[in-house]
Amino acid sequence: MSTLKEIQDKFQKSILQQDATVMDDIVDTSKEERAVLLNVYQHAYGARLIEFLENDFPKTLSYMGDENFENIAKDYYEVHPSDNPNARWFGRHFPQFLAKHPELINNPECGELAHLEYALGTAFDASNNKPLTREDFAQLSPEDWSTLSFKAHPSTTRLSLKTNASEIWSSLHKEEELVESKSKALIIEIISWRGDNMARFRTMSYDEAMIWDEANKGANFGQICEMLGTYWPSEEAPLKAAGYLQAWIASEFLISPV
Amino acid sequence: MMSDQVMSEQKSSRPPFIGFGLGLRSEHYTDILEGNPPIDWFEVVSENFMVPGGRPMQILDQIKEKYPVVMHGVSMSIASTQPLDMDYLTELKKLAKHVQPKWISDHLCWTGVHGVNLHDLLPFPYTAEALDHIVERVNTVQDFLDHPLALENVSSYVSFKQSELSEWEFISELTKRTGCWLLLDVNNVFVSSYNHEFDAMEFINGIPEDRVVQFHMAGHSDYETYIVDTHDAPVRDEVWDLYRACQKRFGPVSTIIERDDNIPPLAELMPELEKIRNIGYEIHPQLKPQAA
Repeated sequence: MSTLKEIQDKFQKSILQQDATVMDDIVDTSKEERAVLLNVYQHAYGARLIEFLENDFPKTLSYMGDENFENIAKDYYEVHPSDNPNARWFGRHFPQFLAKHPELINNPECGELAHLEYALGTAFDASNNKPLTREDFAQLSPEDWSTLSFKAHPSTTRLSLKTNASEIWSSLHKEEELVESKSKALIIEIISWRGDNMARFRTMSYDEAMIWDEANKGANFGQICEMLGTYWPSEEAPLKAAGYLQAWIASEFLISPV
Repeated sequence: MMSDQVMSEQKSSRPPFIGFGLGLRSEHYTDILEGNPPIDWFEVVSENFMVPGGRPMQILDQIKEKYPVVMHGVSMSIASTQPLDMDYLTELKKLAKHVQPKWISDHLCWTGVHGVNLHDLLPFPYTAEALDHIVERVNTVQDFLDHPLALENVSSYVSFKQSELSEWEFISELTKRTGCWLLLDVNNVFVSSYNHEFDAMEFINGIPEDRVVQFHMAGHSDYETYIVDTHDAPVRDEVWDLYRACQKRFGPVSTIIERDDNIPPLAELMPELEKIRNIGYEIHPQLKPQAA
């Protein structure tokens, strides 16, 4: 007789690999054959995982169409079966999976659209760290500024898009005529975050994106002013840096680095 | 030496009767928070709020200020042969500390092994081996959580040659040996009785009268040779009959409508909730609020 562990191993294999060994352990009813009854679980497994992805990537679904999305979703869960008790995290590899999927080699906007949707999902339920305010900075002495360091709020995600995925997202969001996909000659720098309880994104200029990324790698205010000197006359760089910092504070992008 | 039952009864006192409520669904947030509908309490899906922060927790904070809340999980996997997921239980306990639910529930099932989560409520054979295994795990979970634990009977579609006990005998032994409480899903009793060809009343009469703290009411989909617990439709007539029988045997027991799919506007669910309430009042007239 099979043990509980053996039965669970076989049952799981019947769902993940359509292995029929567990059929020896289950019974027919007077109304139905065991294979049909087992198929209720086999069918529900895929349907449920596809539904999780549809819920987390509604615009990617809308853009790709039901059939394409479902086919690639099936490939996804075969490579990445859920390993977390919370379905919230099942789709975390999906954007990268789409980006690398052979059938989407000519549609890089699909992976980028999914990346943007995942970033917005992250913004939606990221932790509630207290954002830094203008008052926090007002308390700094002039000598503190040059060594001032930064830390991004967990709701923020930075993306560098090589396609017009953000425009596609916007046209789907506004239910406007879908814009045609195209690869961009220049990268579109994006930041997503939670503001007023809403998940949002906006574009960043190249200099702002550069100093944001460097600040989050540890560059201090003095260093990012120097970096901005590659874009702007050195006497204007500190003013530019202060302007960007002000915008980050107003949008609640920053938390205390300690 | 104390018996299992005496030891287990010390783990949590019986949760209170809190009336007739609904499973909280995002589609109804605005109507609930702005409309003050006559709903006694809400059951929330624990995993929906086991996220770092943001809007879900804000909504839950507003709900729990106005209504009693019970936490209902889908991922404890109490019957799995994989070790208990202590990270999951730690998160669950952290959420419970914040929410202060009247009790915490999950399902008498397993959801996966070898690190995979199949996100389904999977069946297992009702054997002495499974009982010993699950008793040990329920005791561990009850010792870990600071709140009463209730386990729910699931709908199932297959049964195993190895089973030595009926489902109700298994559940009865489990509650006797661990002192855990029971969440009786009345629809699931009906679905499983149809699928496995047993008498639903034999199930109900086989469960101890004093251990059930909650009922679920829901709809299902009938495929003629079997029924699937889809929770996407109104409660069927046969399940209403069982609900009456359950309120008589176990009641008064706190009850919710658990709608998981094809979720209608709140206004459409309210008559069904009123029916649940009225049957409860009819069987237990002492519950009915007295006119001023």
